[in-house]
Amino acid sequence: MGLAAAAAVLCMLVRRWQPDMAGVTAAVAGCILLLGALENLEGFKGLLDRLTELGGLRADYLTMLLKVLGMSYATELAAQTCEDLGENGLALKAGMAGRLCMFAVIAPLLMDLLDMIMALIP
Amino acid sequence: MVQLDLLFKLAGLGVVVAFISMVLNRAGREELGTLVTVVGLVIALLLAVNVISELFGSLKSVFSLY
Repeated sequence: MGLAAAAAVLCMLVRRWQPDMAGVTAAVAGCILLLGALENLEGFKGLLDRLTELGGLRADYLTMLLKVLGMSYATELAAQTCEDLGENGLALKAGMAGRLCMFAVIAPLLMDLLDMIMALIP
Repeated sequence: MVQLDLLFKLAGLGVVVAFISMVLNRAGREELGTLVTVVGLVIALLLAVNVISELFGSLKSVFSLY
């Protein structure tokens, strides 16, 4: 969080002298912030693997969950960087593209759900 | 938090480039000033590309996205 504050001050400083460089500094600061956040997510996979054994869930559900989580992470990063540099339209398009890709990953899960429901109905 | 110095390098680059272009403009060579500005921007973008590629690499490894 300290990094975010420092980055904000730097962007303001750069914006005063060099307007077009400010956008780039903001984008780089965002990426560094997220990179730091990613580091403490390392142990996440181990936790999930143990969870699958305990809960008896099917493994591909959890890999799907991880995939969607990663995709939302990347999509949010791209959308906000575009918005940061002033391209609001592009940001919305990036968000939509990310959601479409996520839906493509989720589709088989929906099929399983439907099969389960059909099995319930006699 | 390890790349904090990268951020300061980028900000310093912006300030130095702005200063140089101002001096050059004052010395009567506007086209050189704009050239220096463009070069500064290119260097900044190169730094940004490095950070972004590293970020997506670690993203792929953490979430096994590939």
